[in-house]
Amino acid sequence: MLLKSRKHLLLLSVTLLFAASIIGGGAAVVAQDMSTLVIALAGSPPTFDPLAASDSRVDTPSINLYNTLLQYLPGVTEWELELAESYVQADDGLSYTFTLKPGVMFHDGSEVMAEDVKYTVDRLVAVNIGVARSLVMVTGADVVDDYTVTINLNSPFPGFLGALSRLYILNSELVQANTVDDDWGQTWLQNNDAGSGPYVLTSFTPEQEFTIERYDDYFKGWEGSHVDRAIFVVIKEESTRRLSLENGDSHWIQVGSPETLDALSENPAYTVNTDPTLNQLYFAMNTRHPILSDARVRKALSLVYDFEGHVELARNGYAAIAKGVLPPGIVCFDASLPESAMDVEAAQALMAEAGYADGGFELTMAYQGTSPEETAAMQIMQAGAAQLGVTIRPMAIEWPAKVQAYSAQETAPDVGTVWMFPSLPDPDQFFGRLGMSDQAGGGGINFSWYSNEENDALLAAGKVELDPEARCEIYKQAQAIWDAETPYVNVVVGMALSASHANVKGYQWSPPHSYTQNVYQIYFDDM
Amino acid sequence: MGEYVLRRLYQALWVLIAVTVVTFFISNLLPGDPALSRAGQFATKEQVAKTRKLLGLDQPLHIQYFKYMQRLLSGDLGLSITSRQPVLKELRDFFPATLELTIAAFCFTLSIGVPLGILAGSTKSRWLKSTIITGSLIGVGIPVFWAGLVFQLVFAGRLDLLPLAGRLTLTVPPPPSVTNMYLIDSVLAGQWDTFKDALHHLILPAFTLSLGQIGAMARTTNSAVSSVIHRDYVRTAHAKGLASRKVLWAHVLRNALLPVVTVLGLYVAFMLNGALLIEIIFSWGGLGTYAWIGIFRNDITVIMGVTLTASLTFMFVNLVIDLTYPFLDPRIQYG
Repeated sequence: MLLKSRKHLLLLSVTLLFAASIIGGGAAVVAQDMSTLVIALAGSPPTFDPLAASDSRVDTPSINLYNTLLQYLPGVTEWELELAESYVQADDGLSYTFTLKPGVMFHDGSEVMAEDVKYTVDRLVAVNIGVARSLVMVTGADVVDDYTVTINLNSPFPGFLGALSRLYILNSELVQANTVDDDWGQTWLQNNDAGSGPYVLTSFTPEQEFTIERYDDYFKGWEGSHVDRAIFVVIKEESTRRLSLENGDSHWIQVGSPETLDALSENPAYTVNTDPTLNQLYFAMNTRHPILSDARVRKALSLVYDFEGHVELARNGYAAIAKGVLPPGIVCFDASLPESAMDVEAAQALMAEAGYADGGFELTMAYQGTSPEETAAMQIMQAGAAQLGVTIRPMAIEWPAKVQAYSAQETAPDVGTVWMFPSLPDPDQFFGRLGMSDQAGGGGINFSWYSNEENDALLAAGKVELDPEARCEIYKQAQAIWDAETPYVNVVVGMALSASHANVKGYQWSPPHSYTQNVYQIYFDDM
Repeated sequence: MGEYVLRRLYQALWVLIAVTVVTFFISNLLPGDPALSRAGQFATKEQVAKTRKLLGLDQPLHIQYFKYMQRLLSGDLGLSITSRQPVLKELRDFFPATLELTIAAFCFTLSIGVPLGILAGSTKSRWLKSTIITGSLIGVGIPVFWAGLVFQLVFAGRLDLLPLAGRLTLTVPPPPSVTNMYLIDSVLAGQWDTFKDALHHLILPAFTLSLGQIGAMARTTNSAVSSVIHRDYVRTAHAKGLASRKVLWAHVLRNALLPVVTVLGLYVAFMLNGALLIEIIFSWGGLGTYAWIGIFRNDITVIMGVTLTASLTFMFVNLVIDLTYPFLDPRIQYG
């Protein structure tokens, strides 16, 4: 009898474990629906408020749900007018007057008017987060007539028009109707859309998925090949994302590791994309450190870094060695500059000249411990510095903690990694943030605590110079100062990796919208 | 009994207050700036300062704490610093997902771990006992992260038996929200296809989450059963001619259950609070994910909300376990 009950127990256990397994098959259902595109992302948008679109996780829904006055063309760093029909720039560069295209409709059927642009600009100035970082010079907007609006600046900014590519125009009436406690609709926009873009937000489950569906009255129309619906599913784990592509659960996936991309590239069923970004990695050298305050030591350390090893070992070849402070694609990038290069002999000579022929000191190096690339970078730096007798002490630290550590001189690490992700292809996004002395400490990104009056004056002038040639000349001079002073080591320019089913066509990388998926241009070639 | 419950609730209140103090001040000691998270990664110093003021983060810490407690007493867990949504609302979205996952994992633990432990403890077959004990050791030792990936590869990849990730197939809309636990909500709505789909999605993450607990439970039950099965009263029961099944259920298990139930309660709390890795692998979107977001974004109100929820759950589960003791062993009385 006891034996019988044991058998029952065992049987029950096994039955419970597998019973549900045979309820049905797997879940590769969606991928067979050729009007629906499934995109697997590594992270969920923290909000759908387009004001936060300086973050690519927010830029992705924004570019699909909203329109801007002008927008960058896919694959290049040139823009075209979108909601605007024309514009006039004031001679002093302190105002821009836009004439809107008539007949562009928001998703609720109301027309996009000058008042909506004014409200969007006023909101940008009042809330002052996210996208506002690139538009700090904007003071407000004035409505001229129903279709004409003037945006005012307190100083000229040559990158202004490019920065508008992330100023997504809101349906002012809709947002105002959903405003509580003077919050400018921030709470409501968290999971609602108020746009005029090609798609409408139809569902959102935090940290799981969001779905957008085609807006029939989209002003650019639906001629040509497009998908009716896109589901963005959040799969944080890379191997699960890869499996979802192989399983047919997803059509397009973000890829983090070069190994995954290499594996997928061997299968003709998939298309792999390696897109050059505008994102560059730097090593900040703490110029207030007693030893690193000597520019010769900083230069020497930059000369023992194995840049080629970084590209090959840390990125399997999916990166490019930096050429100066600016990555290719940025206004005023100088292609004639040499790549950063290793030269141990020159480094040793500089150390001897500085009085540290045998090294004999330690430096801390802050890096993001959860990033395999940054971990490898720290190890490569360790190996390089060892050739100068310098010991690198690793300091794994995540971004918020890193910013806080760099906020005070006393806690700032000696060397630290810093990636720059520009919101627009403008040199001020790099030079200004990394090198202006007023951006050192207190949450600023000048992690090297670099302070040089001549440099400050050049960067301040470059930021407002409207003449393109004169502007690039200014940044050329700044580049020369940085070369000599080496507040930062220019390491590598990143590449964005992704993969899709081979029948997914039309995907085009937009450098100014790094890691953003514009669904309107994607289609299936066998639809 | 009623007095005992009241006493425990009173103790719980003080524990919760202590939790708020510790969590609030430790969260503020953590490196990182919540104002920077809100203002955006590359916000200017001025923008960060303005955001800090707007969020009240420029006030002294004790003032911030008292303001938080003031709101908490009126049932308001505050707004998330990053999402600007009420934390209570977000907890209602995230917590039921983890609760559903935990209940399913608990069912696996109970239905597999306990029977295996009973079998190991009562069998005379040495190989069977060794097999179960070795198997349970493997279950305890396997990292859940690795196990989850392997299960995905086998059951979702190779065999295509179960879905890879998520709580529902992407084309299946969630049932009308009542509890936010899809199984219950789909039953309430009479949406049987949704129920089947949700159940289908639940199996792999729940089994992965329960894997270690199944092994541990089998071992605990085995040692509890082994410790009583050779007692005199069991031998007497057999000598009286009682059926083996009756001896097992009425004499062995009744006396072996106390430690089993105790650890079962701990396992439930462990699973509830420790599902983060599982949630990441299976894109589950539960409390673990919410906690991770809160910590990653330096969102103190979220961290507080998650900690309070986790503490409350832990205390509730333990209270329930304690209250079952008198039923399992009449010698235990709460006065």
